[in-house]
Amino acid sequence: MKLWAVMFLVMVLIVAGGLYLENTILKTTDQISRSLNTIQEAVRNDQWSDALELADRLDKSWSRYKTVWDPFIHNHDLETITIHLARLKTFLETADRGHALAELTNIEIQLLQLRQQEVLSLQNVL
Amino acid sequence: MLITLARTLFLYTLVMVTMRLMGKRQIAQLEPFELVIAIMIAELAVIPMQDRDIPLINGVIAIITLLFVQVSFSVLSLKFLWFRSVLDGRYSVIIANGVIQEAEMRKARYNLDELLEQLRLNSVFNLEDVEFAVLETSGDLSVLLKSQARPVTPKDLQLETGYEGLPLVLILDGKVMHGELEKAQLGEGWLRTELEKRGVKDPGEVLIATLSTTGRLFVQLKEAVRRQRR
Repeated sequence: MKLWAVMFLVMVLIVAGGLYLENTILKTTDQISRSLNTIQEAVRNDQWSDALELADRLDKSWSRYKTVWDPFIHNHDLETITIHLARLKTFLETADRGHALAELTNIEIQLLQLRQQEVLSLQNVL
Repeated sequence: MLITLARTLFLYTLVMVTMRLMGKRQIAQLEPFELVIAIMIAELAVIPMQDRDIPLINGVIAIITLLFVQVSFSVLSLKFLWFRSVLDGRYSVIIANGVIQEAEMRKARYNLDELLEQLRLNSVFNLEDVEFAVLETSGDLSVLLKSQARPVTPKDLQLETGYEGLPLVLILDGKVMHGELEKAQLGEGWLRTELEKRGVKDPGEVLIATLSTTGRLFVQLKEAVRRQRR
């Protein structure tokens, strides 16, 4: 019975931790999505230096989130976003509009997938 | 390479602790639900061990969840008989009053070859000798022989026998077991005197020494010491 009580407490902590992580992921991906939209607007308006600055800031924030999420989320998903962010920065530096927009869409899709994967839903459980 | 090593060591320790917390049972004695959990835990540990892309926490949470389920089921089956029957099933009486129960065998999907094999494993070679045979939930067969076929016991011969408890291990691999000595209310001084009487100067020379409930001390020296003395 003592063991069960300890295990129950551990399970409560796991569930609470899981819900907290899910909530954090949803909030953070929303935030990143907003940043991506701003970068997209800057690219469309040919404001390359602004776009690059925003992308730099986003890359730094992403590195922080990645470090926190790394022990919980499939590493491959996180690495893919990191790679696309790096490519985006290169396209912004060379003012390559087509490729930059394509990379932005790519990151958006990856983020959406990450969100969908981590949400507790019947679809994900099954 | 070193990461795989560290992950393996961590998961091995976790599985060992989990298995230990699940209770002291051998694989053959596991109930069906326990066997399922044991297999799943082993499998869950292997996947993140091999694939470094999978976060270790995924395996850890799954293993802890299974341990929680196992402990919860054990607690529930201790408290409620109906839950125990659902979880473990019920035993089947395969032979009753010397007669094979065919309906019960069909229900348990247990064939005659299996019955004969398990009887042989119980050192029963003649079906006629069996009064009752019960197929336990763990899959083992418990056999009650007919009174005429049972080995003779001192009770049958109306012989008086003395109390026989568990012998105490006083020295194990050269080390004096002080706890056991305390249980026997004896001191190391007594042990050393007894060893000296047998020509042993140091307990370190002894492989094993046990004390029976009748007070007999059994001493076996280490092979190297025996060889030296020859």
